[in-house]
Order: sequence, then structure tokens, then C-alpha cells
Amino acid sequence: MADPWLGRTVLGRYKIRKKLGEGGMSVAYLADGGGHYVVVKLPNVGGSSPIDICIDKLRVEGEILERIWRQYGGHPNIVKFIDRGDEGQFPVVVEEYVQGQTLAEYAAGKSGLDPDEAFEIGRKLADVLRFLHSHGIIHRDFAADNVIVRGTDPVLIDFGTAKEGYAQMKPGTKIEKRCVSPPEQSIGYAYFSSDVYMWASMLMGAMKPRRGVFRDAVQNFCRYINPQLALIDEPCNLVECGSYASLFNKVFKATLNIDPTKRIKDGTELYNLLTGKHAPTPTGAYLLINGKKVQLNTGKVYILGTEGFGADIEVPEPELRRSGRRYISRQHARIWYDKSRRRWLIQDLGSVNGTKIIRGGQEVVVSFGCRDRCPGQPSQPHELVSGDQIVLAFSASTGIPYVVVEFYE
Amino acid sequence: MSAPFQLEIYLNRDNLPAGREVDVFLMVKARPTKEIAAAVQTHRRKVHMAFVIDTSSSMCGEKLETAKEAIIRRYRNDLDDDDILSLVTFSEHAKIVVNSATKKSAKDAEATIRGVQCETSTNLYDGIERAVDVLSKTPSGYLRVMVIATDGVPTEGVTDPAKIVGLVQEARQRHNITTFVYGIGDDYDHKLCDDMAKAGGGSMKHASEPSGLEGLTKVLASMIKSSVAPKLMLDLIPEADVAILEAAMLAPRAMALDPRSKPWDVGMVAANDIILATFKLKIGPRPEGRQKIATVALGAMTEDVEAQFAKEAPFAEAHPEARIYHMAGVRVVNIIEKSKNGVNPADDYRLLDSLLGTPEARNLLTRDPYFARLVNVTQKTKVEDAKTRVDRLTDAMK
Repeated sequence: MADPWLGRTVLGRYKIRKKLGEGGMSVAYLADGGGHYVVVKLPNVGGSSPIDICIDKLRVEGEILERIWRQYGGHPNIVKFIDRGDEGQFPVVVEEYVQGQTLAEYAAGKSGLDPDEAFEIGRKLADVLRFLHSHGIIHRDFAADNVIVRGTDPVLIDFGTAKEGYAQMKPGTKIEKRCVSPPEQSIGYAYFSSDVYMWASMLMGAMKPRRGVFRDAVQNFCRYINPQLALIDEPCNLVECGSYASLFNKVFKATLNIDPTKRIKDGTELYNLLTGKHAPTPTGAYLLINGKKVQLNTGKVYILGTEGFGADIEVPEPELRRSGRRYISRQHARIWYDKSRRRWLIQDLGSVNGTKIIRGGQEVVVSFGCRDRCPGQPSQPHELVSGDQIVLAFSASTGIPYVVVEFYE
Repeated sequence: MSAPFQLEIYLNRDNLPAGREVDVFLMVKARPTKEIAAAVQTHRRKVHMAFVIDTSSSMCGEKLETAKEAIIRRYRNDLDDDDILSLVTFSEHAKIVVNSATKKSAKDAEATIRGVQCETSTNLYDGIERAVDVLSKTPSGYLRVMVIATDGVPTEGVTDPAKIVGLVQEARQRHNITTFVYGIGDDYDHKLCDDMAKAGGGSMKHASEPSGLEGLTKVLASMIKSSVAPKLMLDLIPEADVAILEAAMLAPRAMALDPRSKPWDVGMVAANDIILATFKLKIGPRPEGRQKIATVALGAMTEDVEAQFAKEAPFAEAHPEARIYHMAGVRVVNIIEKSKNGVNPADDYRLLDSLLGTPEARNLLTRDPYFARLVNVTQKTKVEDAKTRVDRLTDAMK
């Protein structure tokens, strides 16, 4: 049966000319947008993913891409948003048509990127992550088949897996590419540092190998890691780093740590390490909230609470757009530095949905929350250590975190 | 409390001719409300999952090892601490290998499961009976789920398919047990497995290779943990002068609905599911005016179906999708039934193709992603073997 979309005009102005390709969640068509070509994306009804998930993901992709360009000012290495809307019950996203090869194809055509080009492409893609993470967006599939090389410029084209807001602290949709995804994504978790891992696996996979022939970006990287996903050698013994050996060894080791809490935390840290910049990174203790760093001063007590009620640190609600529920209490918890014992402490202030700490995969409950027996009582103070994930509000029945901020020192 | 489902009802025609008999198509579409869907995703259902595994000689080797591994993975990865797991094996007789274990109470359950070995013949009835006994003692607040995996036909004990299906049906009616069935390989009794799943309010899946069990049981566990309604009934109560000529359900699973045995068991409905049923009705001569023709009941929700009757009512369809879905749905359930019974469904594919050639159907393909999914899956099944075809079509709109 012929594709019913070919020849149709969608959203009243984009005439579909041909199918470009399909992923698990969406199908991309080349369309005539009135004198110039555009890409029209529709949910993939022929795939194996549930149809409502395909629809939902494409809607989110459209929303995120629109926000990137209309609210956050856009980025030269991110595909441009043009339009979005609905055709009947089909969501439609219209994007810039980026001509070129995928990074995977481009690298394969040259039998691997040489060190200078790898550095330039890596730097631009690190800047993309810096931009996305600073706006609280985790991409979750930062891979060589989602980047088009236009001339010599990489352009990130696919946001079908992107997630806004908090790190995915409960097992959710698994977005996983064999070998190149970090281990936490194979069990359904994703953090800003997960994108950083994929940046490194993508770049190493695309670089010229030092041993053996170039296969493809994914298979190359599979050869560089052992079954526990750790690098089998110094990075620059595996790929040609040229004069960047010292830098790439340092960056790849810091980005490919299998423990996400010990990895470079986000795009900003990655970009700074790669380019030798240090200014924006806070010194001392800070909270990482939704991709943004909030510096903590040892002389001040910080009240954490929901937005709009005068808390010192306002914590946004998770995915409000979807559920409409509030999870964070007005005065949920407080954090301060105990100078006598030289340590940072957290105390739940009698919140409804509780507070806990996740440290090295183990949970420490600060307060279960007063739930349906409020008002609650303040908890005992608990010590915070660098890398702690502070869960503000969690499910009473399953313990699933709703809101997570990270503490670093 | 607000209604758990968002219910939409469409007649293909807004205006019907008064004073004479008329055929009309009715479509019932429902989906869990966003609030309910979000609630079950957050507060996962507590479940007692009883696996009933064939350990006859034909299961020896990869089939049994894969089944055991799949059970262990569900226990370890998908069930929560308070969930309950049981395992009943059946060969010449049935054995309760794990009886109502939770992660908290039974640390050695995994070792016990790994120790299961294959034996001789296939006493399916005995296995189901034991599992029903174990599940019937589940504390309140838990979903009761029986998961049967077999690669053959019953050879021992009660072997009459009607009695086996009757036992599953009784488990559903008396103990609220939902039954899911996995047929492994090519030698199992497809009709029996399918009938058990239908009678048990669950679904049947075909695993051509044992390795398929892992993914299939994972999807099942996720669906059960986010189920919105474990036992949902659908009814269409026509007015005295209205007859149900044909009825079909397309989602959450495709099957023919017998107008003589109402209400219909929709089965377990998960947060992401839609419910879609279609009907062809014959309405006796009516006077002019707006009048009730039937009542739709979905669980505890009811909604009247009304139509406008007018002297001058030329044929015009306000909702052609009600007719198109019904005509496609009837073809799909025919293909399923014929494939199960070894009959070539080529005629039904041809009729479906001619329906899809109409402008209304082509238009629907670019307006309704669920219809597009149904057509897409159906087209691909033309070249599948009968068991795979039934499997794909039954879940076509997922």
C-alpha cells in the first residue's frame, strides 16, 4: 500500500515529497515549505513502540525544540525549529532540513576523524551539551547517528528522546544504544552526566583507531571497553589523539567513568575542561538543580521550598506540565554548614512528601514525610557528602523519587 | 471520585431517516483519564503473579532454562518488595515449587526456581488447578495474575479443552484471576491457549523462539503493574427495537464480540491502553425527533446513545470512522479466526484492501494514528505465518 502521506500538504503549507527515514518513534519526510525544503516528522505508526508513546515523544520533541529556538535563543549546532501542530490526531513537527552525512557516515568515509577535526567537532558538541544542560534538557541519545555534519559543522538533529527537567531518577523509558550508552541508561536512569558519557563514546568511536581498521562509530567503541564497560587502555592508546593526547586522555577518562556520580557532571564542566576555561564553575559547595548550579555559602542557612513562597532556594516541581500536582512543600528542608564539625547538614522541615539521600546507590531516609498526618515535625539533621542525590519528595508506596537535586563540594 | 475513563461514542450518521428501518454503525472509544494513568504509574499495583510452567520432556533444555530465567528476572527486576510470586510446574502431576514468596520473606526463591527440572507428560489442568488454589488465598488489595507457559498439548489428567477453559473462566469469575498464556514453539494447541486467555481476561502471546519469553514477560509485568482496571466489562444495551447485527473489539485486543453473550470481558486494561469497540445496529422505524437507541456501559460508567430522526435524512456521514473502523475490525477478527482454524484469510485481506482504497479510509489514515497502526500491522501480517499473524493482529492497536 502506498504511503498515504506522500503528496499531502500538512499544517496547510508543507507539501510532503519523499520519505527520508524512520526511527523507533518517528518518521521523517522531506517537504516543500514554500520555496525551501523542510523536514516534517510524524509519529511512527509502523514501528514496534506503543502508538501513544510515539505520539507523546514527538509532542515533547516539538515542545523542546520550539523552546530551544523561541525561548532560549537557539544554538548554531542544533537543528532549527520551524513549526508544529496537529493533522487530525497526528502531531507534526517541522524542522530545518540539514543536508549532509551523519557523523557516523562522515567518520566512516574518512576512516576516522583526525585529532584536529575530532577536537573541533567535540568542542562544538560539548557546547551543545553546555547549552542544553543549562536549560535543564537531557538528550539521552547523544549519538553519532543523531548528528549531521554540514560542511565541517556538526548539527544535532534529533530530540525524540530528550527530557526536560530532573534527572531520570526512577527507572523510566530505557533509551539505550548498545556499547555507546552509559550503564545507568540500560536500567532506565538518565542524568546530565549520561549525555557527557555519550559525547565521549560518540567522539572516541568516530576517531581514527590506533589498532585495527575503522569499522563504524559504534563497533569501534565496543572494542575499547570490557564487559564491565570500563576502558581497556589509556584512551589515546586506542585512538589517534596527536598533539591532544594529554587533553583527550584526561577528558575521556573523566567522561567515561561508569559511575555517573564520579563522571564529569554536565556539559558546562565538559566544555570547560575541554577548552581550559574555569570561570563559571562554582567553588566550594553547591547544589545542582535542574542543570543549574546554586552556590552554597558556609555562613548562611538555606530553606528549600516550592516556587513562589519565599524559600531561599526555590525548587521547581517535576513535570508540572503533565501531572499538575505539587510535590514540594513551602518550607521543605534546610541546608547549612556546621562550622564546629566542618560538614554540611540537611534537615527535613516536616514536609508532606519527605526527604531522602541517595549515596552510592544506597538510600538514607531523612524523613518519610507527614503524608496524610500533617503537619509534620522537623527531622534529625543528616550529613551531606559530595555526590549525594537529595530526593525532595518521593512516593510513599514505591519510594520512587519525584524531585532530585544534587549536592557537590 | 472522577470517572476513570474518558468515554467517546460516535454514530457514523447524525441524522437518520424516520419511519423506516435503518442500519447504523456505532463506535465506542475509551481511554484511562490522565489522572488515573498518572496515579497507577506512580502508585504501582500490588500483584500476586503465579507462573504455571510446563515441565514436560519437550520443554527440556533451552525452553525451560529460558522460562526459568525470565521468571527470575521478573522477580528480581519488575516485582516490588511486597509483590508475591508463585511457581507451579506441571508434567505428569503439578507441583507447587514456590508458594507465595515475597522478596522480603523468601531469599532462596531464585535458587528454588533454578532447581526446576523437566520431567515427562503434560497435565495442564492439574497445574492450573494448583495455581488457582494458591492465587485464591491472596490477601486483598493484590491483583491476581496467572501466567501459563506451554509448548505442547495436554496429555495427562483432564485433557478436554472445554474443561480446561472452563477452569480458567471459573478462576476469573470466582477469584478475579486474570490469565495470560505463552505458547512456545510450534507444537502447542493454539486454539486452547487463545481460548484460555480470552476466558481469563488476559492475552495470549506466541513465542516462536524461547528467547522471546524474556521480552514478552517483561512487557507483561510492566503492563500488569500499571493496570488501571483488572476486570473491565463492556455492555451495549439496545432499546427494544434495536438489534446488534455485528460487534467487534479492536483494542486493547482484537476479538469478535458475540452479541448473544453480553456483557463482554474487555480484560485487563493498562494505563496506556485504549478501548475500541464497534457495532453494526439495525434500528426499527422511529418517529421524528431525537431519541435514545441504546446505552453503553463500561465498568460502572453508563452513557446513553441518542440519534436524531428526520423525515428528510439524505445519507451523510458525520463520523465515517465509526463505519470504517467497524468494517476493518470485522475483517481483522475474521483474519484472526480463520488463521487460528487453518483457513486461508486471503478474501478478508482483499476486502480490507478495497475498503482502504476508498477516499474516506485513506483520509482516516492521515488523521487517526491508531487506525494507521491497525492498517500498517494488518498489511505486514499478510506474509506472516498463522501463529505470528494472530499474535500481531490481536495486539495491533497497542
